[in-house]
Amino acid sequence: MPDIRVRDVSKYYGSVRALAKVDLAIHDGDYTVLLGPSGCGKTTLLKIIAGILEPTSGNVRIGGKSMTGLAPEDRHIGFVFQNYALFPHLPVVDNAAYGLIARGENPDKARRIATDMLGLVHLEERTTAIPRELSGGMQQRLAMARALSTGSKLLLLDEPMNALDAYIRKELRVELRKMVKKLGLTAIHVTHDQEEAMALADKVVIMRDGRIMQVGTPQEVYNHPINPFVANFLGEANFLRVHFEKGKAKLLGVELSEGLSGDYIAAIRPENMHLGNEGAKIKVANCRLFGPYYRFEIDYNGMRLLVRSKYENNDAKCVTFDPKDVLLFKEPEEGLEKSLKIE
Amino acid sequence: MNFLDKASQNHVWGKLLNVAAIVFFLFFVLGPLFFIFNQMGSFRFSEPMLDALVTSFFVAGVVTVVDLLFGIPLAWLLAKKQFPLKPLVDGLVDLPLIIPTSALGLSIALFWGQSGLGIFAPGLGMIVVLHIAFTFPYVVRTTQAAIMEIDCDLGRAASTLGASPLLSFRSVWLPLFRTGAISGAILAFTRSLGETGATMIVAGALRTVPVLVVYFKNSTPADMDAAVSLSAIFLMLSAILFFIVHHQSGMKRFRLGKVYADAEKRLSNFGWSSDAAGALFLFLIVLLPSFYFLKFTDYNFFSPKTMDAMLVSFGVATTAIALSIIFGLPLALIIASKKSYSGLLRLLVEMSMLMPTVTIGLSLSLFWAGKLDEAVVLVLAHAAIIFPYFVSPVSEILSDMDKSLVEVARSLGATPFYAFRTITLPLIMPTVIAGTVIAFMHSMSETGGTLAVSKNIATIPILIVDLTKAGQQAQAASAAVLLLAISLVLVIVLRMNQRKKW
Repeated sequence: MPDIRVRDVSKYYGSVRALAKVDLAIHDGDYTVLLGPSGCGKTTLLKIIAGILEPTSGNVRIGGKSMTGLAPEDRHIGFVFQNYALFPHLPVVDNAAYGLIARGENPDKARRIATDMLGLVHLEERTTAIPRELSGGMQQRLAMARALSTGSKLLLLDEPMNALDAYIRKELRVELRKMVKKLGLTAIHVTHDQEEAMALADKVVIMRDGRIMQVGTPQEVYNHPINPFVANFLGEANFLRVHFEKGKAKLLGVELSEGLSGDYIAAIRPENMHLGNEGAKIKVANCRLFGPYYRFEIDYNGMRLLVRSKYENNDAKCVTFDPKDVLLFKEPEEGLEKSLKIE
Repeated sequence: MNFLDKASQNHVWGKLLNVAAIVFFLFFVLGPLFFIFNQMGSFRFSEPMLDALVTSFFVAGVVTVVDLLFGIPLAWLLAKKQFPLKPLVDGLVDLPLIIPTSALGLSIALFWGQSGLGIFAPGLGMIVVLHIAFTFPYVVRTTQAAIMEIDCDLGRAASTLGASPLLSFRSVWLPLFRTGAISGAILAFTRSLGETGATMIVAGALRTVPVLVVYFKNSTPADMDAAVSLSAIFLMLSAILFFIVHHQSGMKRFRLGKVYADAEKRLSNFGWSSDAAGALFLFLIVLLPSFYFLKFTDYNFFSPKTMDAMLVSFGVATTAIALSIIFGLPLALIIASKKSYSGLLRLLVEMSMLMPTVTIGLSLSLFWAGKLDEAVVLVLAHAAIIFPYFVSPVSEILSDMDKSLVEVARSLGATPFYAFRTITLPLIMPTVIAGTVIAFMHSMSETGGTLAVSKNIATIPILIVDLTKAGQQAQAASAAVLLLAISLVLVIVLRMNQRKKW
C-alpha cells in the first residue's frame, strides 16, 4: 500500500543546500533507516515526506498519490518526533487518542481504541498520568502509540531514541522492530547511530551532505560499501594506498591480484586483520579490552593500524589478512582525507 | 574593590546586606502600603465611592476582554507568522507604553473628542478607549512571549495526527499559552484599575476610584477620611483579585471533547481574518489615537515651567532608581537564592507591582506626614512604585542563571563578591540595565502616586494634566513631546542593549 517515491527532491534554505536532487524508492512493509552524520539532510528528507517541510523542487508520492501541496494533516501518516512532542496538558490516553478525535471520531470510542494501543506498548496502567510523570522510555512508547492509534500504515521516526539511556535504547529498538513487523507497517527511521541502523533496518540509506551515498541491506552496506566514506561511517577500517601493476599489487606483504591497474585505496576492517608470527612486521602500541574483543593499535612502518581480536597478544610481531577481505576503492575526487570526514 | 572582595568572605557582611534589603522592602515599600489600614479610624462609605468602584472594575473588565479579543490574534500573528515589515510592526506594539500616560490621555481626548472624530465625549467610552491604548501592549507582549516559548513540534505533531490549524490552535496552543495570556490580562486589568492622570483628562464628570481619591484628597481635610477609606477598600479588592487569579492560573489538565473535523477545517481557511482584525486594531484603535497629540504641539518645548518640571522629574526619577538598585539587587539575589522565604518575597514583590499607585502615594504621604519633607516623600513614593519593576526581572534572570558558574568561580579561588562582580554581574547586566530603564520610565511618567503626594511640586506628567485642564492643550502637547523624546531615547538604549554579546 504505502510505497513511497521521492523524486528529484531538493531543499534550499536561502542559499544553503540541505538536499540535492534526492531520489529514493521505499517499498511497502520495509523498515528503512536514513543514516548519516548530523547535517546530512536526513531529517529534512523525513520532514518533506511528512509534509512538515515543502521541498524547493521535486516531488513525493505516497501509495502512488502525489503529495505536493498536501498538508501533514491530510497525508495520514504517523510521526514520532525527536523529543516526542507529547502534549504536556493532556493525560496519556488523550495524547494517544488525539489523532482519532482530531479526525472527528467520538471521544469515548477514540479513547477505547487508544487504550488498546497503549496496552500494546505496556502503558495501560498509566492512562490518566500526564506526560511529564512518565519516564523517558515510557514517553517514547507513548509517542509511538499516539502515532499508531490513527491506524496509519506509514510510520516516520525522527531520531526517536536520542534522548534515552544506552541500555533502554537497545531494549526498545528490539521491541520497536517487532511491533512494526507485527502491525505490517512501513517505517522510515532517521538516526546517526550506525549500530541502531544495523539493528533495525531492512534497508539502510546512507546520506552525506544532502545526497544519498548508498542504499542497501545492512549486509550490503557493511560488506560492500560503495566508497571510503560509507566504509568508514559504518565501522572502523584501515585505509591504505595500493598500486596495481599488471593486475597485481602488494599490501602488507600480501599479494593482491584483482586484474586492476593504477592507484587504489584499500580498506580492511580491524576484525579482518590477524596478529601472529607471519606477515608484515609490526609493533603493538596499545591494547585495550572492549568487552567482547581487544582493540589493538599497531605500528607498521610509522603508520597506525587497528586490529580487533578475541585474544590479548601484546607480543605479536606480525600482522596479516585474507586478500578476499580487502575493499578496494578508486581515490575519491576530493582526496581520501576529506572523503572520510564525518561532520 | 580588593577590600570588598576580602570582606565578602566574612558572612556577617552578606547577612547584613540581606537584612538591609529586606528591611527596605518591608519598611519603605510594603509597610506604607498597609499603613493605610491603620488610618481607617473613621471608616466612611458613600454612594459616589460605590459608583467609582463599580466604574473602575467595569472599565477594567471591558478593557481586559477587548484586549484579549484582539490581542491574542495579534500575538499569534507576531509569534507564528512571517510577513513583510514584521520587525517594524513588532516594534510598534510597545510604542503606547513609552508615551507618558498623561500625554496619552490628552491624545485620546483629542482624537476621539470634538477636536478629532467626535465619536466620544469625555466619559465612559473615552475612558475605555484610553485604557485599551495603554494596556493592549501588555496583553500582546506576554501572550506573544508565551506562544514563542512553546515547542513548535507540538503544533507539527498535532498536524501529523490530522488536526486542522483551528483545532491545533484551540486544543494545543491555547491551553499552553493560556497562563501567559492570563498574566497579561492581570497586568492589563490592574493597570486599568490604577491609572490616574490620563483618566482625569478624559473622564469628564465620571469618576474612577483613583480619580475620586485624588479629588477627595484635594478638597476639604474632612474628605481625607473618605480618600483613605476608598483607598483601603480598593487596595484590598486588588489584593484579593491578585491572589484569586494567581491561584487559578496554574497548569490545568485538559480533556479533549468532540471535534467537528470538517467544519473546523473549513473555518481554518478564515485565519487571515483574525490576522487582519489584530493588525487593524493595533493601528486604528491603539497607535493612531495615541500619537494624535503630535498634531497639536506649539513647538514651545523649553518654556520655564516645562523646564522646572523636567528638572523635578529627572531628580525624582534618578534618586528613586538609585534607591531601587542599591536595595533591589540584594533582594533579587535573595529571591533567586531559593531560601525558604524567597517565594513569599517574590509574591510580595509581584503584588506590590500591581497595586494602584495612587493608594501607594496616599499611604506614604500619610505615613511620613509631618516627619519628612514633601520632596523626600515624593522620592520614596516613586521608589516604592518602581522598586518591583527593577527587582522582578533581575530576580528572574538570576534564578535562570546556571548556578555552577559561580561555583566554578569559587572553586577557582574567587571570594563571593569577586565572583559576583566578575561572573554574575556581567551576565545579568543587560537585564539590570533593562530593569533600570523601565523603572526610570515608570517614574518619569508616573501620575497617580505623584498627585497623591505632592501639594506644590509638579513633575512633567502633573504639568501636562494641569495644562490640559486649564485648556492649554498646545502647551501640554509640547511638554508631552519632550517626555516622549526622552522615552524614545531610553527605549533605543534598551533595544541596543538587548543584543546578545555572547
